[in-house]
Amino acid sequence: MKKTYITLFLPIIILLFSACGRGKSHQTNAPSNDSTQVAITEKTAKPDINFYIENSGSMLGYINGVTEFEQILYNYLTDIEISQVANSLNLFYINEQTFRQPYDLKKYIGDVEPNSFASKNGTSDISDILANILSVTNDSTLSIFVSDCIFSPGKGISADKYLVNQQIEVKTNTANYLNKNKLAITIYQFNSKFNGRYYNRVDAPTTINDVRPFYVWILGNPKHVAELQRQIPDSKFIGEGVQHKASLSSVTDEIKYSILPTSGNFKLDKINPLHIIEAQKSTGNRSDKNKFTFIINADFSPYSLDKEYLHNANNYTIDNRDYSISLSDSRQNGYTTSIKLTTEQLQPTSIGVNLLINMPQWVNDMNDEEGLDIMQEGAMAKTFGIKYLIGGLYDAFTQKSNIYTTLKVNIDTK
Amino acid sequence: MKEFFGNIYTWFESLFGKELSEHLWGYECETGTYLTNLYNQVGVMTLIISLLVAILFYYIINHPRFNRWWSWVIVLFINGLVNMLYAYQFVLSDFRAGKISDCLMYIRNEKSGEVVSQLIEEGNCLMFGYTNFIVATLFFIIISFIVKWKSPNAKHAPFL
Repeated sequence: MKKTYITLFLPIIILLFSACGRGKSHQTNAPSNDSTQVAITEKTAKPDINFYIENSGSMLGYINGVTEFEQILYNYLTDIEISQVANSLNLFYINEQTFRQPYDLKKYIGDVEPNSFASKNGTSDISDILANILSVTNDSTLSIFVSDCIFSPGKGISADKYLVNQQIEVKTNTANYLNKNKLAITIYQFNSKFNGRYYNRVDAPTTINDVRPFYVWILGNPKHVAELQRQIPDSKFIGEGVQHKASLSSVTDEIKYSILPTSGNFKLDKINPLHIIEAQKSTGNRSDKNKFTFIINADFSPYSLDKEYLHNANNYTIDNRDYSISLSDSRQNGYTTSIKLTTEQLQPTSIGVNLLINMPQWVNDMNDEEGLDIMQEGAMAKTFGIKYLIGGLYDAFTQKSNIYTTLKVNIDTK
Repeated sequence: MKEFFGNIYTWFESLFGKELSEHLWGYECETGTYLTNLYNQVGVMTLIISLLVAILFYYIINHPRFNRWWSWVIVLFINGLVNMLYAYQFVLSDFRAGKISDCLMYIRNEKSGEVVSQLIEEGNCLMFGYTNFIVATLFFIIISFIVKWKSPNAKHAPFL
């Protein structure tokens, strides 16, 4: 009897221990995102970076004394140098013309003197400067432009008409560029001490010593713009940092997104995991009882949009009115945004979640429509005509479509 | 056919948890896709072990003293136990080696990334072991009634 049970047990035990431990058979076949990211970075050639600071008379107040303007830009340029994100870094002052500067970050901006900074010409047309910069921006050259972005129509010119015309010029120049090139633009707004002359829309000066906004624009191939921001994220700007941000991109590559299988009462098709099957409403005592819920994790990093934009439900539409949306950071590596969709009307359907190209609300909030009296309440923190300048860009990018991307999901019920 | 074993195990998904089930289906959080179906590995091995035990009982041991229903039940139980230990060790090794995808293992704070709660514990692995005890038992019953008829001395176990 004992022999019988030993005969029974022994081969089974041998088989069991040989089966335990799965060795390498379950190693994922998919390459890790990190190794893929490194491979892409290595294969994409580094761009040349042209750094332009507008040096018209209206900018002098930003370099009078030790200001956040100087510190933020000096630190940013140093970060660009250290990160080795650029093949070369070229420094310029710009107004109606472009003036190349010797490569000395401290003299260029860190410790710049008004005499060496100010242009003898004094004025600048922003839309012309942008057109000039775009003309030298291409797949191998990324441009960074720093300015107060104030329009200067001058005396005797209708400001309203001037601003609309400027918006159309910006739109035209940008649209023409987009017809031939891929383009991403990121605009940061910062604050800095300003001690000097402020010129209003009719070029009348007012001496002020207060805090004023200035803008840093990044323009170039979307991959280079995204890589620059990956290497030097917003959090690296010193002082009070980025106050506001606007981003536009003509990226058309497919966005990575997936459905979190544990986010609701359903299963996923194993062949096509963007197809929900056996969907049912939740039961139990949770807040989403009698509702159907699921979460999409999406990677919107190619668009360089900030969290404020990505978490705003007004920047999305769903082509199924039965569903509501809520947004948060994704907790999953390789994804930026978690999109939770909920409905009480569960039925088989296809859903498209559209990420819209919307001008951020701050652009309207920061716009000074009058541009006459800087001492008027609220005017100090605003920029004359900024919504027309940035609005022209959005008009260009939304010529063909106002949607960045659509996330599509099919749902079948149990 | 590819989902045959998975469909059997998911009858009992409520015992060991949906998160562990998704891991066994092969779900990979970073890509959002299903890669290697581990249910197939577990299912095939359980089937093979159950078949070997049945053959051992009916054709190798093949003793008249085992031609009784309770002898068969003892072997049924041993088969279940062996497969339970196998399945438990199978998932436990993944659990301890950190091979289960993060989104299946944890709920994290969206700002800090810190773990708020753990979705899969060692207890889930043990419950998968119990599940495989049940599945192995079902396999052994079916296999017994297929293979027993030519057994010279044990074909009447458990009955007929």
